[in-house]
Amino acid sequence: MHLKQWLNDESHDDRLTANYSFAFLDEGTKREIRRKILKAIAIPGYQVPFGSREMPIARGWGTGGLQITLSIIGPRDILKVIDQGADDSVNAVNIGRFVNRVTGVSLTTDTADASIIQTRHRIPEEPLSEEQVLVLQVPIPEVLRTIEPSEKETRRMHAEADYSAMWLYLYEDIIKYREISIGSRYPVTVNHRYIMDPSPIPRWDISKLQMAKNLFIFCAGREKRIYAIPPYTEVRPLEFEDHKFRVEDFKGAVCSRCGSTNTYLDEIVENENGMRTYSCSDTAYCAKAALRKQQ
Amino acid sequence: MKPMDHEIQTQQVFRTIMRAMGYPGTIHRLLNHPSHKTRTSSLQLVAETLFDQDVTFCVIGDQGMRELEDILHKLTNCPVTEPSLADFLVMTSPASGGKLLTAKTGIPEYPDHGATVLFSVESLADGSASDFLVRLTGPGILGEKYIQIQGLDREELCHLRELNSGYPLGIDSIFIDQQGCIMCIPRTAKIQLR
Amino acid sequence: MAYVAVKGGKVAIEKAAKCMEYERIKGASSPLEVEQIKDQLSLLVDRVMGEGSLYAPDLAALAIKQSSGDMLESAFILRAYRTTQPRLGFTLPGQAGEMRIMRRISAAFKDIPGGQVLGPTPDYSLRLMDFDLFEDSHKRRQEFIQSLFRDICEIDEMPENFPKIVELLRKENLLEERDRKGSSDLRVDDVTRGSLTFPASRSVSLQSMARGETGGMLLLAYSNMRGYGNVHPTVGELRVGFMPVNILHPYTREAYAVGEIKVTEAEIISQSKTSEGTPKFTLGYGLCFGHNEVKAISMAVLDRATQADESKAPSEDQEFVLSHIDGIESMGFCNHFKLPHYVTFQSSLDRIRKTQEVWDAPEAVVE
Repeated sequence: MHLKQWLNDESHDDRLTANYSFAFLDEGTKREIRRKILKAIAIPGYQVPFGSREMPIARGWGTGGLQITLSIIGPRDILKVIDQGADDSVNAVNIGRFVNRVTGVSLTTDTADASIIQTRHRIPEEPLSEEQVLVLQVPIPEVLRTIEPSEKETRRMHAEADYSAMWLYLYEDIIKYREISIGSRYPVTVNHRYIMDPSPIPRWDISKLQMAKNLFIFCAGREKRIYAIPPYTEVRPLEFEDHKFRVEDFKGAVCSRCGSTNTYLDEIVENENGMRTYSCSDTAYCAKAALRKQQ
Repeated sequence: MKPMDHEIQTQQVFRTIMRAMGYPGTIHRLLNHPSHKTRTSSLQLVAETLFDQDVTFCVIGDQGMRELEDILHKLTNCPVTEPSLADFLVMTSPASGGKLLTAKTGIPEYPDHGATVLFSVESLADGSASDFLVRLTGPGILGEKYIQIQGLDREELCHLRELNSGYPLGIDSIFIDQQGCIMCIPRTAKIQLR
Repeated sequence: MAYVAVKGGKVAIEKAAKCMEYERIKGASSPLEVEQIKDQLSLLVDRVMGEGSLYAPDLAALAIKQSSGDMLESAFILRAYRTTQPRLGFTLPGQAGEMRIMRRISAAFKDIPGGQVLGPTPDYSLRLMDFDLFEDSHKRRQEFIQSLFRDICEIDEMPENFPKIVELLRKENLLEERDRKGSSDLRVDDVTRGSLTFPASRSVSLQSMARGETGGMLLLAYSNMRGYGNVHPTVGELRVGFMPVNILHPYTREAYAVGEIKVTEAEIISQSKTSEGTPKFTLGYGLCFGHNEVKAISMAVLDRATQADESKAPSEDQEFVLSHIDGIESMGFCNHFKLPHYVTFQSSLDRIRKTQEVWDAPEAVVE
């Protein structure tokens, strides 16, 4: 019984003055998340349920990614947090500030310098190394949710690898629109077994999951699921022989800041006449490239 | 050790285990601290990191099982149960007498319920194409990985391979040697034996 | 070439927080004391404690003050604080018979052992605006209290105990004791230490609802009462009062009271057919922190509804109900749509433009 232990524990006075654990989460929470991370790595693409805790930021705002980061981070890690590819996005800044406050860990905007990168809806343009971990925030972890609202049923479908409904959905899409009309959250098959939701990253980023050097950990705080893609793993977008998977087409647009032609671009509407410019969604990459261009 | 120092130590141990599970067959030193070189203390470090009152464990092997169960239970508050129900199995001898085969491998809806086995062995070392006990391929491995393991019967690795023959059901393994090093084999790894 | 400024996010969010605080304090009125909220807005405090899942009236009052009265935010703040508190242990199961009654009624019977104790309730009041409250003062309050107690001739003793109405029905063998979904396992799950899986055990279902958002639960229960469902409830008993909190003393190993909490308990009685086809009464149970009758009754109705053999309506679908009643989760997700989504939107733009192109293109060979 824990009360006896608590009474015997000499440090309980500290706890009375609300002394938080390292990285905010208590050890019991971290242990559970850590156990689940290991299972997620061992079963690529499978969603592991976990007892997601409430965090000081709201559900839907990255509590899942945050719990992963707080469970794995150590004092020597260097953290980068991005949202839609940008370091300066208000939500990314908020999360970074919080982690720094409860760990003392250094923050960076330089992708190459970071050991842990927490991201919402984008994978950085620079390929990551074996020393880096990418933590992705996920709103809806269940790839089959648009086809089937019941969790009980989708769990059965994954258990039996009964993905016919998903293939049918794609097929009907093609019949209706002559193209697969899914934008982000494009379904992928992981390690020849589970169909997985890669989180709302653009199709542009899907290929970065395939045989990567780094580990990817996905977490949905509100839906309470952890899943992972280990390094060097087969990750294939669903496609048909005659309707192949296609990334976004920027039609030769160029980043107005760094001149890049091979990055995912944000479209910015300049004025009421609909004039548009484009700039790299990955702002850190763009800044580096712009600097190189100057030199 | 102050509570926060302990938390940081556990975090470092976990990162090493996570690294090892993500890159199967790679060998990692648990901590750079010289006092954590003995087999028991490495095992304890891993147990402290992963066990608690919300999961179950047991020790299988041929001697000293009850004592070790006692030690680990006191250390982590993790309840002891029988091998077929345990979330964690700790194997301290080269052979399990078939007990390893009773480990739970999960169910189709929840393959993550499959157990994690801690194999306490003598030594782990990188092997080569001409000199190996285990050859691994699969997620986390670029090409293949050759490993040498001392202190584990070949038959146990056959059992492991058998337990993992029905992916996604299976068990996941953490090997801990007497030099304070660890290596992991998740159920996704295809095991080939010499 | 146009340059897009992307800096300034950090400063903006700092200023937004300050702006929020400014809105709260800019008026000419004196600062609200936490004590005032606790005493004079006690039902709001009760609701926030219930949804925040932490029985801490001072903290709930503080959260209400901090959030300028936003109920969802207040519950959220309390819930987030709860996460940081260590789990010391578990209480012994509470017995509703031990409740120190403030209010206790039954709609099933005209008179009941112990009597109908109305207690504090607005149920029979006329909802007319009391403009006199604009002129509230200590003096007026003192006068009211004095006159209240002055007019009492004699004080009846509260009955020793108030037997549970359902026990009376049980004794007459009118209550069906079904083996319901998940109730065959007596283990108590902890909803804060795992995630929802379906079918959920009874303990998970009741815990989820006990900390559910009042409005959401009322909506679902109401839909059932109106006909999208089969419950037809009668309030067998509604109790509001103080329950002792007992733990096992760590040294003497005896039950030891560490305090008491105010709770609302509702038991509703509904009719159904047993497997043999004979009609019997079945029970729905609701319990929540503080004085919150709408939530307790809604919870009892939903408890019964989700036990239905077949779910023909949303309120009867256990997965539907339990997945959508947590206020912190629903509010968070609703609000998250305000976060930038331009990358994913760009991806959708691309797809729509592409499909338009393909659609408008000369007839390609696509079967």
